[in-house]
Amino acid sequence: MNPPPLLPPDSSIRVAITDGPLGAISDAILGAASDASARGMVGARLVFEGIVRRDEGGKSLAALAYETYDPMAEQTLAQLAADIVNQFRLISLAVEHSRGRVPVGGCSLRVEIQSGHRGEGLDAMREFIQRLKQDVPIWKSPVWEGNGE
Amino acid sequence: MIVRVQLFGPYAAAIGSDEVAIDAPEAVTSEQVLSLLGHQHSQLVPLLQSARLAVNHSFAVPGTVIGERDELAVIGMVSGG
Repeated sequence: MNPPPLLPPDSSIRVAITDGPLGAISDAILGAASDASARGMVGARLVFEGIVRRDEGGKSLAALAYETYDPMAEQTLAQLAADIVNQFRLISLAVEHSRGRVPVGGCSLRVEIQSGHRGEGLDAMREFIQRLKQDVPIWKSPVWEGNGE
Repeated sequence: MIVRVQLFGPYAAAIGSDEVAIDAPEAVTSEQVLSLLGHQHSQLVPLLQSARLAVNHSFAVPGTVIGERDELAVIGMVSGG
């Protein structure tokens, strides 16, 4: 088991991989956001949601199927989240990713970032998503419309 | 010794299996495991150029010596998000 990632004081990360499409933003995230806001630390809050779209290279998708290598996927996400929090001096970073089938229109990735100022939050969001797509052992495969759908 | 390597995504699709058993010498390194994998399944060679070996859920540093009981997985061409 890898040790938990190191974080600066007054910052936090949250990582979850869940089966199927992601639901609404969880109370845990909203609670953490409210707490940091109440203490006057937060100047920017960003939420990114990745949605499965129908068109893929001129063909129609019914869904995407996500395969994860557990528990390394979650561990790598946690280490990446900690790296980004440290690099951009964020207050918090929460990430949720789907495992299994997510239909067109469903949410498969959600990233929530809180920072003192918008600039570092926006930069952190772009960097986090780019590195997620390079390093985290998650693979997606298409489920085409018409293949028994 | 026999080491077992887990495959995912395009790697598993290329050979139609999500696990490969490799007959490897004692004290084999992570780089040698990938090389042996390519020799055993030539269709993986193009994909292995961008792959890393994970050993017990962490990316292997160069020269990592592999044991028979280590959990191995090929990580590359990921596509999350």
